[in-house]
Amino acid sequence: MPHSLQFLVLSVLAIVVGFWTANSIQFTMTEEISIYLAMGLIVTVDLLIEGANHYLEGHFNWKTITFNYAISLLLAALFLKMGQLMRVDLYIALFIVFGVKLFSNLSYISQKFFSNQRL
Amino acid sequence: MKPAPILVKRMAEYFPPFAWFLVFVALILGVFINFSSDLRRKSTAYQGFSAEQFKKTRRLSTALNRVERINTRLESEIALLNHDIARELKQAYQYTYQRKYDRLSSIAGIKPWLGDGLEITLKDAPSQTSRSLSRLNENPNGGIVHNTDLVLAMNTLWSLGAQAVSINDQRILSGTAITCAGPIILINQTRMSPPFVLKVAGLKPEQIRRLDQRGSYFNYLKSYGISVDIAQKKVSIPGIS
Repeated sequence: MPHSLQFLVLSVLAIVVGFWTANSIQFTMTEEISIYLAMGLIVTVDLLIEGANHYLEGHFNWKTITFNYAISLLLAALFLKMGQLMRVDLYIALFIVFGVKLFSNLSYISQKFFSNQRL
Repeated sequence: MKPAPILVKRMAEYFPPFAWFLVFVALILGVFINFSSDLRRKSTAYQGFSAEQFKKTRRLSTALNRVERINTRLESEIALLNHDIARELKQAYQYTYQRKYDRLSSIAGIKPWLGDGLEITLKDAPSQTSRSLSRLNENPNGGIVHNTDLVLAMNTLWSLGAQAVSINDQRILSGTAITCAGPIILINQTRMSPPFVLKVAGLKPEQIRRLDQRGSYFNYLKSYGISVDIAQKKVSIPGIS
């Protein structure tokens, strides 16, 4: 089995496990925390793209990535809470920041793809 | 080395850190996908609602969820408390039944009695007293301890509040027959002759004093020359055999 296919199988399995775990913890999603969910989703996708970028550049370090992820999540949650308390739509700013970061990382990956660099 | 660390080491060698990173991210994505689908399912359920209705329904739904959680917690607390109550009731019943059993077994004479009590010894009058009785035109048999004397002595003791009584180590109960068979007395089908040792338990000090007062049955026996010796001591009254 090629190495990349193994990565894919592992990832799919992990998604299934994550889905099943979330299903089994009986967590009730409410409207109040749906914004946190959306932010968490964007930060996670950003993490994925950033990790892939680092891997392609050859300086991937899981400790740095995980630390960045945790800090990003915490800060995003903090800003969202502050926005709710101050009745300011801070989440828009956060979506823009993480969106820009995500797409810039994505553009780096595209550049590497089209310039025939190693995968 | 244990098998689990070997497996972990092999997997760490086989898969680079990036693979683990992918697994980690996929795991989190799986959780988020589940939560999103849950939210989506709920949102589609409210289609056709106005914004106000939607907000109200969501607010009520959140409140309902909170109340359900509280209910679940309270139900578990109720179950625990019911369990405690059942245990306490069981102990209380056991205690009550034990007390009732103790009381009834004492009345029924099942349990032996050991403790403070009285020992009353009844002996026939000496022969010269019988002769004196004859001279006074009294029945000389009056100096002999009869079965009726024992029955009346028993009645006296019961009426004073005795808890347990025995005659010559034969437990006396409500159904015990004390009968005369010529020169001997039968108690519980056991043949007995004087002296009769009555062991009594459960009398209070003022009741014990009344045994020796004027007009008591034991004083009446003394008037016929019958020896009545009352002593307070530790007594051992056997249970019914």
